[in-house]
Amino acid sequence: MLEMTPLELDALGEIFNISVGRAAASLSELTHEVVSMSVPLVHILSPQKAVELLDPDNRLRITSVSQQFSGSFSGKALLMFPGSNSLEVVRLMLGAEMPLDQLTEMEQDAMSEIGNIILNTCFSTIADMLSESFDCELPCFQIASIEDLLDARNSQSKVLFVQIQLALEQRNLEGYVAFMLGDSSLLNLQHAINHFLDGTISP
Amino acid sequence: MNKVALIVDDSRVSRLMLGSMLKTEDPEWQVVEAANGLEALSKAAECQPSLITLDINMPVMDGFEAASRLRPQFPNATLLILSANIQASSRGRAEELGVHFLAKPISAMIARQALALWGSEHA
Amino acid sequence: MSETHTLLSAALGKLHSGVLIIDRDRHISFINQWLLQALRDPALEYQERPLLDVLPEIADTRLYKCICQALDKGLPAVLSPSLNPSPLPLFNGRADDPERQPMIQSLQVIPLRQQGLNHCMIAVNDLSSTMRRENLLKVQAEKLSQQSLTDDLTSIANRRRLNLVLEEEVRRAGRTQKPLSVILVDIDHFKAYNDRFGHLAGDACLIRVAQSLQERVVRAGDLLARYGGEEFCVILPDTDSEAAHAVAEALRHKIAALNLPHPDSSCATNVSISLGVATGLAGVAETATGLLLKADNALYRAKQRGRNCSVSHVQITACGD
Repeated sequence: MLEMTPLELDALGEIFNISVGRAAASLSELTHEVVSMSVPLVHILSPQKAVELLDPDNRLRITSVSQQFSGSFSGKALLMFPGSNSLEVVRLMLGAEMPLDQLTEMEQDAMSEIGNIILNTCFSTIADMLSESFDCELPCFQIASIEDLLDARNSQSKVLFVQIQLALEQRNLEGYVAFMLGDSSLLNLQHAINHFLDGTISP
Repeated sequence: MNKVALIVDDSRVSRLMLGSMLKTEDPEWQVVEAANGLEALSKAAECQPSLITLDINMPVMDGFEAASRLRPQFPNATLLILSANIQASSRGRAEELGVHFLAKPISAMIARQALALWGSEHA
Repeated sequence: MSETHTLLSAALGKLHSGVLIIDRDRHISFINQWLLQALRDPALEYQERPLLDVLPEIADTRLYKCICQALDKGLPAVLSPSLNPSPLPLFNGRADDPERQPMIQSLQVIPLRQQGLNHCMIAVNDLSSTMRRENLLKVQAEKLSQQSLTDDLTSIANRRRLNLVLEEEVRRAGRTQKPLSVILVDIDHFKAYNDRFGHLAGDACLIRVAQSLQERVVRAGDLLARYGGEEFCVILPDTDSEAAHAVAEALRHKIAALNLPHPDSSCATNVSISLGVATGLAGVAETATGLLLKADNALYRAKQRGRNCSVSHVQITACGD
């Protein structure tokens, strides 16, 4: 059972704050729109708890882009947009008007790229600030329930959940970045954060 | 000019980091913290800072609004926005308000840049 | 070892997609035949040359940033064709064909870090024909939707159906000498509703209003249709102006009873509608356009009178105002 102190969660929050800031800037360049973001909220939950919170009726179809990673922490990182939201993303980026189940290959590729940009900035910022390195796989596009995406029925490990809100062109998009980490990875992450805090805040 | 810095950020880690780095660069500096724009106004009135750093995204009152109110009250202080929100629109807004802009993450280099800006305005 | 090398060389040489390998100094380590042929200038020497020397146009592009990120940080990237149509200067067709078209590409930038390597591979796929196919499908889908008779958002009849039905009813009324009524309905201050609550909430409001109106338009032969952004139209065959006005008032009350808060409305606290009623008189040759015009005039009067009310065209002519 891993518990993070408020200070550790704060540090993690700052890391994601910077990640989202950089991702917003990249998306802004790509779409030529102003992209604004709110400060992300960080939670550490079991997958079952995450499903309860986000989709208690288990009805939502979620668009997700995921990347496997390995290094001092390993697991899977996912960017998820609940059903109606991901349409907004595609619509705004491409001017497309397709319903979710008719997302063409082109639009799926575009979603994968958007997910890749956001996840890569998270990895890059974590790597920079905590002095760690990662090996990453290419992004993988999937439409499924949160339960399936987080493997909630089988998984015993915790999920690092980051709630992010991006706004493009007056429309608000709420997405979630989830890092599925094994227990030892989460512990390593905690150690890395503490190392970072020790190095930068004098007692 | 008194070496009092007011650090405004809703992240405690950020406040601690910047405060610690400023003092490492120059131990004469005194650091006061505020967790949002509104608190910044009251703390500033109390401590009369000559250097104020502000994050943008904060609850109650954001950095831009706080900066716009602090600027006329402290015309001789060095004001800078220190944020993760690095888009051209944010930088532009800082420029409009007459405040500097530095991008997070907070590092020793950022602390040095902040002090250099202060130095150039308080020679 | 050498046989494997020969084998792999042969395979990469025959591959119908591009492979470009860059080393940590941003020099080209390898470029396969397919990619070479697709470049604007295949005769140029690419091997071992600095990437930006032979392809200066990619400096400051997303592709170059991804290459650097892959080499320096080991992060893979995808460049999708819709967002980056032609990151590399590649063309379809033979190198000597002056009519070559730019190639629509899908790229993957993949770090190669095993066994002491510090390189990155750019895999290129030609998506030109896929893109053409998808565009064709989109055009066909567009055509199909243009033949549809249902409004996408609210699922009630759309304007095309309204026009078809109204034309038919006008003809029938001429034959049977029965009165034909038409009601135009407009949601009051809808723009302000959208501005306050956002487009998604605005759409939801339209759907609810449409559903509510539909519940009251159930007689066989009657039709409810979406006339415009926030406008609806009701066709009531065999209905005189008094009866039509009663229907209009019933609809108005029904929408008021939805109790949808509308703080920016100056005529009501909830979402309300204004209605204009027109009836084609027996014995008077009426056209669909003429009838709609009368209903529109009546609607205009309703707005002028402060909204949240219904006005009959008959009332206008009767009062002479």
